[in-house]
Amino acid sequence: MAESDRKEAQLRHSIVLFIVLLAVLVGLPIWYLTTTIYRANLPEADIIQMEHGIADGIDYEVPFYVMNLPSSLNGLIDEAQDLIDNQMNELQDAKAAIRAHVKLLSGRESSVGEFDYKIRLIERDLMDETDTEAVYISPGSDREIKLFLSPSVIQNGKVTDFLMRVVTDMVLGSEIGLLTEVSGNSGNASTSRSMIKIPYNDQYKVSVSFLEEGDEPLRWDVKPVVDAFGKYLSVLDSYANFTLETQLGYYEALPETANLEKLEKADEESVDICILKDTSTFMDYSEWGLDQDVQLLPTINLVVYAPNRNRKILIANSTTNSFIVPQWGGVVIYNGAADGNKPGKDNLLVSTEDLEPVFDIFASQILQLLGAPESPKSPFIRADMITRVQCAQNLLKSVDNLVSLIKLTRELPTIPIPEITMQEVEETMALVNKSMIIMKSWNESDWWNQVNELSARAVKISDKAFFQKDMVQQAFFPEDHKMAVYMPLLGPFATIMVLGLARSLKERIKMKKDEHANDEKVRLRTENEPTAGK
Amino acid sequence: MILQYITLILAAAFLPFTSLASELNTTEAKPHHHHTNNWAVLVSTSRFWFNYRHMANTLSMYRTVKRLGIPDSQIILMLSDDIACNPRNAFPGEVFNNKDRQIELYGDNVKVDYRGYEVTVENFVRLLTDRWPKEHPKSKRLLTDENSNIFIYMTGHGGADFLKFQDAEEIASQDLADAFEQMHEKRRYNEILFMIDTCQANTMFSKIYSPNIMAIGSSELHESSYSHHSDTEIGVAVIDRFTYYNLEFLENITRNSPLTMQDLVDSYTLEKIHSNAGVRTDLFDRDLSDVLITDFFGNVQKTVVDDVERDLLYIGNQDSPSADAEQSKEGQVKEADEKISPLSNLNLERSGINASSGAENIDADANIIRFNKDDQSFEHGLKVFAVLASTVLFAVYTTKYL
Repeated sequence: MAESDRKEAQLRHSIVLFIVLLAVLVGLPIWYLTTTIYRANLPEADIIQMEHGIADGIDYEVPFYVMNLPSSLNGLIDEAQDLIDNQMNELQDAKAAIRAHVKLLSGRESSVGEFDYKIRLIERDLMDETDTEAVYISPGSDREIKLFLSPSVIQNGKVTDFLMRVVTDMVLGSEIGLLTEVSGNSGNASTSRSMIKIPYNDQYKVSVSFLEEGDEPLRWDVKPVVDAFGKYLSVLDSYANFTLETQLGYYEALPETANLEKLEKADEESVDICILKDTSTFMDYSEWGLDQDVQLLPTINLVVYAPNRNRKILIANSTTNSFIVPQWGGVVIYNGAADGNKPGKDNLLVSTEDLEPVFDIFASQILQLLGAPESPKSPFIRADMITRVQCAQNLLKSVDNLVSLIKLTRELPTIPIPEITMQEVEETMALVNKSMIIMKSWNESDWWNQVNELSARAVKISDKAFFQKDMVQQAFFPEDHKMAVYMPLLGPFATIMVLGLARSLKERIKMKKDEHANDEKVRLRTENEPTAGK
Repeated sequence: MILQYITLILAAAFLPFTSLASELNTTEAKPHHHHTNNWAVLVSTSRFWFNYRHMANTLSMYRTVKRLGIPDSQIILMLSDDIACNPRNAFPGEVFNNKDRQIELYGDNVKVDYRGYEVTVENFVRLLTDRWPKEHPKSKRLLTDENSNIFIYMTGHGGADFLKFQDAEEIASQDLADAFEQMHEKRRYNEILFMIDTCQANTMFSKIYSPNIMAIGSSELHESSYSHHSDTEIGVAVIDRFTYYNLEFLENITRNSPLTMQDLVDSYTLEKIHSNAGVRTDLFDRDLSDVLITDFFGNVQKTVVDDVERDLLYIGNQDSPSADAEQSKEGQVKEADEKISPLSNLNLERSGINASSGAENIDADANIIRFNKDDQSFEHGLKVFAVLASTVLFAVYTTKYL
């Protein structure tokens, strides 16, 4: 090989080598970095530990203050506490996900807050003719429970028993029922209540729609009653925030599917009476101008439907002419306009007095839609109950969300996990831990307000972690697709590179051989060359 | 040389690779007979005028679910092209599903949620998994929960295990299955009816592994789905056979119809559809003859007519207990009096909580009608061939070049 050829070949080899090195040292890392999915390390062990911790169940305590008990009778509290504990254990499954407990405390007027549960033991006057024992649970915000003790109860030492029965049954009975529903075998707890309940959110929009069938606009005097309703909603403040909106709609004709049965009317009657047998097809969700908000807040729809003045619509088997659409809202059919035909009444005015009963029905419906139990009467105590149960449910749900998240990331190895998801997971865990601590070692008796706020945030953030927008890509990228994508891109380049490398190696080996042979030749020649003759 | 090279690449592309999807444990099924709301996701994935029929298919379904009571806020309509306003449309602003032009599908009130180039695989997967940026409007989201029954209808051009979107990308059956699993994991549905009208449609639901999903497809593997007929004035086929006959059946359904999914499935025949419609029910724990058509296509809300309790509004409006005296009305005083209940009335018996009977076993038998099973051996053969061919080609090519 000529020296120039040799030089050229060497140059060519260095170029090939350079390209190969460039591909390996620069190309490969770039390809790797730009195609790998970022997966943050979720604290899986901690989440699983938290799940185990919560799997035993969440216990919470509800404090009750026995008011103004003489210190000599403190033994009574201990005795009643034992009875209550036993009864609560009996009523609740030890393995239930959420369990409630009662803590009896002795209270004085000065030390007990306005919103604490107060039990007052009142001795009945011996002279009173009705000398049976009785219970009065205040329906108001004072949360007072009065026990009227008859002499026989006191003499027979049944005071603690009485106390226990009132607390565990009349006051907290429905809360225990609620807990059994939500935590028992939640899978098949499709009780009517859980079917009706609107999924929890810490904010709701209550949308009241006044819908008229016809074209004669009624004048709705809504302001005072809507204000009163707004105030009523503030009872539920500890559970969630509510914003109230109203709207008015005309020409909201009934759908063809509405099953109306017209009654025979007497000649003198000017109003048709229609019986609505099946309420399930009454609503026209597509055409009626119901709430169409773009906001994401869950909406509780309350609808007042006013038929034309020439007819009344009566719902079969309903005294209030109302019904509930599960998880959606409540409907009241208002026939007042037809009554307006009577003399002495303004036909088209719907006064506050007319609307009060309607909103009273809404007040009851909204409690049902939030999953509140029926007793006791006090909406305040019931709001407390659903708040407490919701606290525990929120905590369970947050942890459940996290567990779902790690399960998902294990199942789908190609799903990306952005850093923000991890931060959200950590934030959720911090909130759950904090809530648990407050719940366990409460020092304010209405701990549930605080915990509900924290736990609702935990649910929100854990939801955000699960539904993180960056966790979407076409998660599934099968190997044969990879092949199909990369082969045309990298195949030609890689083949030429590999073969070029192979060729230059081959050449190099050949060159080495030639060199060797040359050297040998030269050596032989020098050996064979006759030395200068002497 | 170049030809050889292309063959090599093609052969290599067929190389068998195992799917990444791992075997997942699905939780045991529980009775899921209750739902409180219905949603529909209707997707047409193909673009351009000659795919008129895909838009018409989807709008037919839209019309049906709307007629049966699902409100627009609970229908997600994805139309990949706007044929109603296409300049080639002889009937501007109108879409018909039949050459008799009796039913105008576009109507006065169509709410298209995703239009044109918004119909992408990514958006569809986002929709199912609800992973959106927070500014995404409510009307474009699938806000379902564990009480929702969802009807998902897709139509377009597809093949084995994929459905093409917009001539540009495709969704694989595995993507769909994984999206459903994510929905299941977050309890975003009670039951799903997945219906697809495309070529080799049944392959699209073959990978689904999440419970309570029922799937219906228009044609099996290696089988095309056909259009029904053309309208000479419109100039293109107006609807696909499978959807046409579905619609023919559904047009007779009213909101209180007692007909079941079994009746719908029984109505599919090869004579009508010209392909073998497939039904997959192994993940579904109800018998099809118990599933009303309106469980998926309609929105029949069960309602609760209840006698409500009184005076809550009044109680809630008391400022404080001390204000009782001034504000109380006669009725309220009476109410309060009633609350002083004698102990003898105290009823400690509690109503038993109905523990419903254990979960029904899912019928593990493959209920899939005519589903690909014997295709496996064929595929295996293809794979072996591909490996051999690529090896030989590679060897020949390498030695020649060297």
